[in-house]
Amino acid sequence: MQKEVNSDYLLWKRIKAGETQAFHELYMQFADVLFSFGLIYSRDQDHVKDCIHDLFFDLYKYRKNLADNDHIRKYLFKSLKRKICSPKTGNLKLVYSSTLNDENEYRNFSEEPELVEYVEENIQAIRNVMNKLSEHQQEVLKLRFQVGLSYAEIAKILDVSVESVRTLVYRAVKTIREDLKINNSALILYCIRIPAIK
Amino acid sequence: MKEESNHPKRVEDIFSDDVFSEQLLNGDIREEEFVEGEREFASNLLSAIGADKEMFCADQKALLDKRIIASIERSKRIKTRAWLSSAAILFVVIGLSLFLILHGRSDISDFASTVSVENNLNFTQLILPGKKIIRIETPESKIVYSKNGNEIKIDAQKEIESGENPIGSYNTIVVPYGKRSRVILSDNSVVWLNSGSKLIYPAIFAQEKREVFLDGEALFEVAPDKEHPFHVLTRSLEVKVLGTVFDLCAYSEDSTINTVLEHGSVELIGKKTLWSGRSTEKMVPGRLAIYNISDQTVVQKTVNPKDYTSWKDGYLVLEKKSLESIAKRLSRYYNVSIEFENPELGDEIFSGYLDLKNSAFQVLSMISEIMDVEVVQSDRVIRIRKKQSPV
Repeated sequence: MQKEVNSDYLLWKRIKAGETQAFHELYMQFADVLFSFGLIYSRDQDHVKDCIHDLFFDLYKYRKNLADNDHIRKYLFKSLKRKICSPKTGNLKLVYSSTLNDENEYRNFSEEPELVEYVEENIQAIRNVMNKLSEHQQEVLKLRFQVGLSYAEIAKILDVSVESVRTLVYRAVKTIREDLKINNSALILYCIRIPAIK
Repeated sequence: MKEESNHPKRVEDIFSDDVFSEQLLNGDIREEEFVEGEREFASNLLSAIGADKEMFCADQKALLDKRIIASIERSKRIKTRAWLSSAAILFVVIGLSLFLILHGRSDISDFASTVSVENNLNFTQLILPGKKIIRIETPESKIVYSKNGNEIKIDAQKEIESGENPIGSYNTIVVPYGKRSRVILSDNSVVWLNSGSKLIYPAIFAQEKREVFLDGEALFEVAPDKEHPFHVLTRSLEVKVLGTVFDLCAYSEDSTINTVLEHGSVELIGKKTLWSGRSTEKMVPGRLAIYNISDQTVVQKTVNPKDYTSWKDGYLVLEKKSLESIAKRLSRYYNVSIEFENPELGDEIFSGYLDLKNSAFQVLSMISEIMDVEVVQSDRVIRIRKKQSPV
């Protein structure tokens, strides 16, 4: 652990010195998680990539003003979010695509076709319910379970306490459960309505 | 430890817990942790949330890496070039004179390249032919030329003889950061010079066309005279005018030259190159033209001209401007340096009305009340930083 902190610190020093190789290393360390993070705020992959480019280039341009290394992760995530959501581009809304991607695989389930179909229906039902959650709740769920950030980190990025992040998730899951119950009792009706929504 | 607690939990407890949610994500959570029938709900919920997840494929990732590194390298090269350029100027001057002789271009920019004056003085300078320098101490000075160009009135008090004005001789006015000046030329055209600007012009205009040279920002109210078109030259762009009001922002440290047309019509004339002729572009009122010096391209957009010209009346109207660009303008206007402690604050967008009669610190404090920032002043440096959160 100590060693890891140390190597982060050294990398940060090289960033501040403007060493090109250091930017490459930092990029390789963060590219995957930043990309995944960015896609939460915009479905436009090219836009996300442009913003990541600008993020690292700004880091280079403003490296002299940078504070110490302990905020690097927070800085990267927050700046990227701001860039992606900036009014120039206007990708402010979190959106779930209305249908599932075909390529999605659900590893935990058996290959029996009826069962897969049943599971897919369930997941689609959850997604429909999830769209009704508050933007904040959706964002936190995605940050934790799609991007895989820890609650402590999410709290830092959103400038709220860890406790309130957890509460958001707790309430979100509860709401989903309750809404599903209501919908289940009218499941048949619901299935008929779906094509109409699309 | 938490993992050993063995009473079953509901999905919301699992999801909102650091350790259990981590186990769930890794797929190594124990069945027994769940209340009966909840395991399936947890899996479905996880799949539903993560359904949009897309991997950053390796070749795309490598491509973006190359792009970032290329941008950084390019930026490094430009800086090195700036260091070399001072040495290169001497050669350029020789080359330029040859070039000018060959192409018969006006000699005002030739003259401009020989004028080197300091911008960091705290008074405005008027330099007459024969290197006669007049100091003007007022922050908002007014300089009026008589019709025949022989007399100059400064700030309604001093009246001086402009002296000998042989054809091909020029007057220069240098306005330092923190000051402004209004010049009324012998043809009655009015030029408001913003801070940190330099204007070169003849006391009396030559026969065929009226020509001035600008480095910095100025607002021109050109007296109409179709017979004698008015040309504003900058180091790389020329603006041809037929009687109009427009703002031209051409600081030599900026990478673009911005022209805003309030009314009338102007024509932008690009740099002449050896290989191609000069490109021209017409502007209509209410438009902003951004000329990129390095690739010599022009982009036009519709704007409210008042946003760009209001500085002459002592206020700024800002519509969705980044804090960085506002800071740049204010630091020129007041001659203070403004720094961002958190660079990302520079991207914040601000709209509003700023009264420039207040001090730079007051103006920035006003912004800080609206945006979540703090302003601290020490000596001639103003720092902008994120408001310290109470956490």
